[in-house]
Amino acid sequence: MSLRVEGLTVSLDGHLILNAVSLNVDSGHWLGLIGPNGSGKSTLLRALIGQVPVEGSLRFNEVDLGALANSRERARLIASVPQRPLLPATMTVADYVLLGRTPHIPYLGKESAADLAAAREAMTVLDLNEHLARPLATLSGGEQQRAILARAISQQAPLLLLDEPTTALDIGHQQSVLGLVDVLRRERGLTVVSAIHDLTLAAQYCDRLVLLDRGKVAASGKPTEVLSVEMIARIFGAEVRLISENGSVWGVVPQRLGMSPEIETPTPPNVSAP
Amino acid sequence: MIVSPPLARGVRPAPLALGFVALALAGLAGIALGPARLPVGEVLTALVDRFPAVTADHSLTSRQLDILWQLRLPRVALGACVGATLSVCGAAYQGVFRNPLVDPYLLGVAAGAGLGATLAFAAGGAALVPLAAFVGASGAVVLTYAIGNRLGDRANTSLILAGVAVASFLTAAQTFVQQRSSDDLRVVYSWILGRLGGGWNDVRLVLPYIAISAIVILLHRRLLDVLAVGDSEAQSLGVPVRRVRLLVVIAATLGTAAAVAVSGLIGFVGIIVPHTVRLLAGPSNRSTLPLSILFGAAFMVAADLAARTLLAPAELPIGVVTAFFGAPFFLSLLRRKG
Repeated sequence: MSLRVEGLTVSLDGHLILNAVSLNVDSGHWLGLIGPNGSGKSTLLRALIGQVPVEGSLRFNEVDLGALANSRERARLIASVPQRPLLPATMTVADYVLLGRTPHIPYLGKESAADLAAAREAMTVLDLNEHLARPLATLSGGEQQRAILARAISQQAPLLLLDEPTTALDIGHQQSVLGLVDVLRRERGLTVVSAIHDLTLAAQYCDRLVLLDRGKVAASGKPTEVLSVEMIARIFGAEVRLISENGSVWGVVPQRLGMSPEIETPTPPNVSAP
Repeated sequence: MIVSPPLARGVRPAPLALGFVALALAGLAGIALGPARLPVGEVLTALVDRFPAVTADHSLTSRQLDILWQLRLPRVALGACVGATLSVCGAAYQGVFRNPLVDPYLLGVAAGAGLGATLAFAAGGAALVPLAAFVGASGAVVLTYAIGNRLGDRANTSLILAGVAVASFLTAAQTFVQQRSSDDLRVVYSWILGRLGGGWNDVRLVLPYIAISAIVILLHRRLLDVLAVGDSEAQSLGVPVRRVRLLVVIAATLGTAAAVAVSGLIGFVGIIVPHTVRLLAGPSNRSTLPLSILFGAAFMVAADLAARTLLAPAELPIGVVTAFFGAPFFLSLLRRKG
C-alpha cells in the first residue's frame, strides 16, 4: 500500500521540467516536496492527477495511474488541493464541500445519502458547521483554507496532495491547518504528499522529504538526512542555521547575510547524495 | 447538536411558486389584452372547454374564439418558448464559461443568424429565413469551436476570443450583402429587432429543438456547478470538462439558433433573466437553470404584451422593449458587481 513513482519525466513546451524522478511514499506517511522555485514540485503533483503528459510509471496501491479508464476513477484515489484554488465567490461552504463528492456520483446522477453524510462529516471535522450557508468570499483566509480541506476530505480518497497549503496563512493558521492534516493522516491512514516552501514546517510535519533541484531528486529521506546547511546552501543558495534537538531538525532559520552565527550550528547528520 | 446543513437543494419551493405565478399572470394578460379585449373568466372557461371529455359553457363569440386560438394563444406560446430558451441557454453559457456577462449570442450565433437571414432576404426567399438563420447560427458556432480548439488548451479564453473574431467577420459579411441589396435593409432590420408573429407553425417548428436543448442543459446542471471551481480542479474531481463543455455548448446553440430562427435577435433576455433568478434563489445552476425557464417565459410574454399594447395600434419591435428594460437593469447589475 503506497505511492510508487519511477522514472517520471515531464516536458512542457520543449522544456524538461521533471527528469527521471523516482520516489516512494508508504501508506499513512507524509512526504514533503521541497526545492527552489521552478524545481518541479507543483508539476510533480499535477503529474499525479493526470494534468500533464508524463513518461514513466505512476502506481498507487498497485494501481497503474496511467492506465485508469477515466478521471473519475483517479479522483476516487487522489484528492488534490491546488496552490490557489478558484473559490466561486457566491457559492456556499456547504455546496463547495459537497463538490468533493463529485467522483462518487455518476455522470448525470445526483448525490446519495452517503454523499451527503460524507460532506457533513468533513464539515464537522473541520469545524465548519456554523459557516455552512456563508458564501465563500465572506470567509477569512483560515476559514477558506478549512473549507478547501473539507472538500478534499469529503472526497474520501486515500491519497491527499497539497500544493503549498500554508503560503497565504499567518503563523497560527499555518500551524492549525498542518496540524489538522496531521491528525487526519493519523486517524484515517491518509497518505499525504505536499509541496512546501517553508523548510521549518516541512521538517516538523513531514516524515519524509524529497529535495528537487531543476527537475531532479537532489536528496531524499528523513528530514535530518535531507536538511543540512551545506545542501541548503548548494541548492537554494541560502545561508541558514539548523535548530536540532534529540536527533530531529526543528527549525531552519535564514541568516542575515554577512552576519556571523551567534549560536553554534549543529554538525549536520549524514547527507544522502543524489 | 446535530446540524442538518442545507445540502444538495435543487429549486426551493418559494421561487418556484413565484415563477409559476409570474408565468400564469403574464400568460393570462397576454391572452386577454390587446386591441380586442377578451374577458379573462370566459377565456379560462373556453380553455377548460377544450380539454377532452370536459364541457364548460362560455360566452365567447366565434370571432373572439378565433382571436384566442389563432392569434393570442400561439403568440403567448411562442413568446414563452423563445423567452425560456434564450434564458436557459444564456444561463448555460454563463455557467460553462464561468462568465456572468456572457449571453447566448456569444459564440457567433447572432452574427451567423443575421448573415443567414440577410442572404435569404437578398435571394428573395423570405420563407427560407428561419432555416437560413438556423444554419447560419449553428455554422458560426461550429466555426468558432473549430478555431478556438486549435488556439490552445486554455479552451475558455480562446473560445471566447474565437467567437469575437467569427462574429466580427460574419457581421462584416452581412453588412456587405446588405449594402449590395439596399431594398432588403428594412426587412432585415426589422427581423434583427425581433418579432413573435409566426403563429402555431413557428411553435411547432421550434418545439423539438428547444425541448432537446433544455433537457440536455438541465441534465448537466450539477456538473455546471462543478465547473465553477475551474477547469483543472473540475478535472481533478473527475469531471470530463471538455465533454461537458462541448455538450452544453451544442445544446445551448441548438436552442438559441432555433429561437433566433423564429423570433429574430431579441437581446438582453439571456442575461437579465438568469441574473435576476440568481439574485432571487442563489447562484447554483441547479436552481438557476430550471427557474430561468419559468421566468424567461414569463418575461418574454410580458415584454411582448408591452410591445403590442404600449403604443397601440402601432407595434414596437420586441427587441426594443427587452433592451429598454434590460439595459438599465444590466447597468445596475454591473454597479452591484463593481
